[in-house]
Amino acid sequence: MSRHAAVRAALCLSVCLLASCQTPTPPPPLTHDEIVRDQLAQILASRHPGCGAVRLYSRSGRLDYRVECASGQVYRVRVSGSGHVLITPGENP
Amino acid sequence: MSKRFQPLPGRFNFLSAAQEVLWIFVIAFGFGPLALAQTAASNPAVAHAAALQSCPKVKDDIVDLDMLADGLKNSSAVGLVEKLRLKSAIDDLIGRFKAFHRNDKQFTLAQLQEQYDLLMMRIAADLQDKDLVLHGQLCNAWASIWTTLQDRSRFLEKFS
Repeated sequence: MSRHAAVRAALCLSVCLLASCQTPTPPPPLTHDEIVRDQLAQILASRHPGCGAVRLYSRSGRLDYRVECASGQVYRVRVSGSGHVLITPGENP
Repeated sequence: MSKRFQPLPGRFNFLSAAQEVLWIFVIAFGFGPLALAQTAASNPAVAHAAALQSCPKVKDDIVDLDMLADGLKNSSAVGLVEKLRLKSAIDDLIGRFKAFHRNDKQFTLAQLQEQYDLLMMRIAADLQDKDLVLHGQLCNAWASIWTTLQDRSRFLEKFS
């Protein structure tokens, strides 16, 4: 191995070691509102992928939400007596 | 009231008896459900019981989030990426409860309950048409898992 190659390898190794030592700064903790929006968006994503992010939501019962998507669509998301999640189109305000 | 309809003393008055019966019906069937609805609105536990009142019968019960996570891991209803996301969401929620029970009150108990319910809704939505057994287990365990999470001594016994 030539001297240049050895120096290059040592340089690469030191850069890798330095990179691995640096811990990424943790993201700021989510607020309650952000968590709720995210979970509602995930629930809607499987049935209505066009919804995208949740723009507004309101809660009318413990397991009953009215959700307004970024796309403008409105849905009612609730849980039935048998534990099924029901997603029905809602009315625009 | 005209003199003609005034009750005669000592005689049975049909109209006032009918009025009494009518009032009893109004109180029993009119105000009863109204009072129940008001109770459900003010008491989340009652509202919850009303929402999940007919969970399917299951053979084996799930009693905690770990068992639910294991069930999800072994279920073919959920894809690999979604499994990882759900596991991460469950771990995040447990972390928030740990902080809550350590008196780091970033979230209130009511907020944590809403976050828990939404996570369960998300998992239920994934399972409901594909894994009926695990979905039934989740439905039955919804209240009992919450009871463990909110109770400090039970939670610390389980997660410390």
